[in-house]
Amino acid sequence: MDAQKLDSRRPEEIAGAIREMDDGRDVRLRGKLLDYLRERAERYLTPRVDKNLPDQGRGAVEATIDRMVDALLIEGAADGPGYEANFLKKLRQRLVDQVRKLRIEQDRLDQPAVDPETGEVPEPSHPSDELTPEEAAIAAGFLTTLSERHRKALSLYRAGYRCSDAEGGETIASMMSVSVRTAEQWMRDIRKAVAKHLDLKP
Amino acid sequence: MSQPATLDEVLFAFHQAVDIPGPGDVALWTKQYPQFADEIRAHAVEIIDMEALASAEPSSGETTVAKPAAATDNRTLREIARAKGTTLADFAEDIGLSSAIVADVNTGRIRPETVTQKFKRLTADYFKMTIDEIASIIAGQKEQPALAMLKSKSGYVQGEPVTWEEAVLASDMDEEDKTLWLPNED
Repeated sequence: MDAQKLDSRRPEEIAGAIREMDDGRDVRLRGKLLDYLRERAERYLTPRVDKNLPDQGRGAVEATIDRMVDALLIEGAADGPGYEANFLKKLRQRLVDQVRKLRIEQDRLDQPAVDPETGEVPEPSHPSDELTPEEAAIAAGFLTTLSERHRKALSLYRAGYRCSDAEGGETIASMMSVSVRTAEQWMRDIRKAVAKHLDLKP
Repeated sequence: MSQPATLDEVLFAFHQAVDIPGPGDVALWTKQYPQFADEIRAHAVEIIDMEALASAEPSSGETTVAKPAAATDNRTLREIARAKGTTLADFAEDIGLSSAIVADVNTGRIRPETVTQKFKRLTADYFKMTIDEIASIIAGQKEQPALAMLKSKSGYVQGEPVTWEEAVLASDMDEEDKTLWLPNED
C-alpha cells in the first residue's frame, strides 16, 4: 500500500471505505488502511496534546486513536459518520474530551467569577493590565514552557480575548471560569516572564 | 443537514465550523445553544490551546495554523527535481497537483507562508528530504519565469503574489482535486 498515494486521498474517503468493507474478504486491506489512518491521526494529534499531562499526553492520544478505530470497525458506532464527515475535526473533538477527563482527574480547581470573600464582582481591568502585542508575540516564543493556565490565557489573548469586556462579551475570565482579577494576575505573570526572558527589569 | 441537537452533535458542529474560535464565534454559539454554553467555552479554550501548541511544535505533523516564514535555502525546487533525475512536471503529475501550481511555488508567485503542510510533506517524501528543508527552499524561491523575462526588457516585473488557496481555486484542476488541495485539509 503506497502511503504517498493515500496522502492524496481525503481521510474521510478512507474512513468510509473501511466502514464499508466486508469483514471476511477485505481484512488485510482494511488493516493497512487502518494503519495508515492511525499514523495520520497520530501526526495530527501529537503536536496538539499538552506535554505536561501524564505520560506527556501519549495516553490521551492513544485513547483517542483507539476510539477512532472502534468507531470505524464497529457497525453502527456513533462516531463512524463523524469520521466520514470530517476526520480531523472529529479527532480533535475526541482529543479535547480525553484531555478534559485527564484534567478533571488531576483535580484542577478554578476560581469563581465572583470573589468568594467579598461577594463582589471585580472591576473591569485597566487597559495597562493587558499585554501589548509585542509582549504577547515574545511570550508565544516560549509558550510550551508556561504553566497550563498561563499558556491558555496567553493563547486566548492571541486569539482576541481580553481579561474583561465592558459590553459583556466572552473574555479570558469567562472562558476559563475565573475572576477578572485572576485573569489580570495571569497577564502580569506573563509580562514578568517576558521581562525575565529579555533579561530586563519589570 | 439537520440542526445539531445533542451536546455531542453541537460540539462536533462547533469544531467543524471554526478552526480557532474567536470571541465572536463563542458568543454566537453560546447564544444559539445556551444550554451547552459552558461546554462550548471549555472546548473553545482547549481548541485554542491545542492549535497554539501545534504552531509551537517543530514542523513534524499536520497543522492548521500558519507558521512563521522558514529560513531560506537558495536552491530551487526545479534544481532539486533535476538532481533527483526528474522534472517538476513529472513530480506534479505524480502527486496529483496542477503543474502550474508547482511552477508558481518554484517562482515564488505563491506566497511561501501560505503553502500547505500537505504539499511540503508530500514534496519532502517524494524527494527524500525533511519538511524543514522543503520549507526553507520554498521560502527562498527566486527563480524568474522565462516568459515574464521575455516580456519585460527591464527585468521581471512581478505581479501581486497570490495565496495557495487563490492559486488552487484558479487552477485547471477538477473540483474534486481542488478540494483535496485547498488549505485546512490537514
